[in-house]
Amino acid sequence: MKSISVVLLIAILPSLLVAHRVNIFTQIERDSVIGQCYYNDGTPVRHQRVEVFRSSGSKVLELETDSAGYFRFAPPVKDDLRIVLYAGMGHQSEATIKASDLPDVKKINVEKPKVVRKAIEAKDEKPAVDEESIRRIVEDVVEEKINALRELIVKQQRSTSLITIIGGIGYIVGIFGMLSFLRSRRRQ
Amino acid sequence: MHISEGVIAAPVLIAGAAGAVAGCAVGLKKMNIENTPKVAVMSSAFFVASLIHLPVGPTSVHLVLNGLAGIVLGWMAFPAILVALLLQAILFQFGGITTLGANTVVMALPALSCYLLYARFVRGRSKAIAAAAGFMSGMTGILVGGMIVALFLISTGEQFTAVAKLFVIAHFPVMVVEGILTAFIVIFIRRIKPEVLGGIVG
Repeated sequence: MKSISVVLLIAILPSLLVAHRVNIFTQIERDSVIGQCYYNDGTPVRHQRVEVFRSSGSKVLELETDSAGYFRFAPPVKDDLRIVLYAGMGHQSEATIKASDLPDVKKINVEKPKVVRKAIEAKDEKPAVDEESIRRIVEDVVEEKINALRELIVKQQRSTSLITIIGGIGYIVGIFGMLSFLRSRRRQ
Repeated sequence: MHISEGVIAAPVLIAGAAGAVAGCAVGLKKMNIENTPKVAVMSSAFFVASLIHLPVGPTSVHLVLNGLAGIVLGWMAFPAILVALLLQAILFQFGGITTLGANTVVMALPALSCYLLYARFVRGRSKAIAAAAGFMSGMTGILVGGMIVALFLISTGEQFTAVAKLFVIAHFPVMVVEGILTAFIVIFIRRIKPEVLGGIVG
């Protein structure tokens, strides 16, 4: 009996270790990057340091996660970004964002005044809500909704649920239990 | 350590399956009412060990615990590992159903070699030698497994030495971790329940 409890302890301990892997999930919303940090069991990583590096390896930003494990920043450069989460006690995780996925930093700044000027020039005409801008608004809204779903799916794919692990152990006990049962019947 | 579906050729799969069936037949013959719980518990430990991942470079490797299963179970490691691998394949998509036999050989054959090489030292009077034998079992279990994987991959046109070298480099950290873990477990079992290892002899 003692030996069984020992090995059970050995068997359960690892799943606790697994539960403390950290995950970082990032998404781009309009002109900012939003990240969510959580442990494998879904607990948010609260008030921990997050650092953003550009492709050359130099640090461009240092932030902290909020009480729900989120952080948000406007990318200061259009470059491949590496976002590293330091969750304490040796827990660390990172995510990368490709430059091509980032909003064009300069473009936004330059184009905005142009649009405004156009609007002033066309003061007397009808408000110009062209097809292009409607499409962009709809895209933004849909993107926002889809991001939440995407987040959920990634989270579920990455985590190994405890229920599955326990279920697996249950199957093993059951299979060998059946085996002993059959053996004992045959012996009688 | 888990070979995925569709990687290795059919003849190798069939050879693997045949090896697994033969090993399980011997293992099941050695199983009796008294030692079945031991097999079930080792099977569970093996099942869970694969979920502990250590990131090494671009990939991540995981604990295997087949060395421990070997020195505790001997031939009975075959059925224990087969059952655990079957459930890992179904529940976590580790390996696969068609590669089940090959994967069983990859992990259970090293377990058996650990038993043949180290079991008598683990059972010996000296605690230090037992710990060292436990450490070696943990290392050997993974190392021999990797060599078998490399052998299987020859059938896909891979160079044995290249694959073997890559495997050893990637798995060295986990070999050390597994060795230390196995040594501690061996010492622990010796103290509280030496019968699990077949008693302390000599």
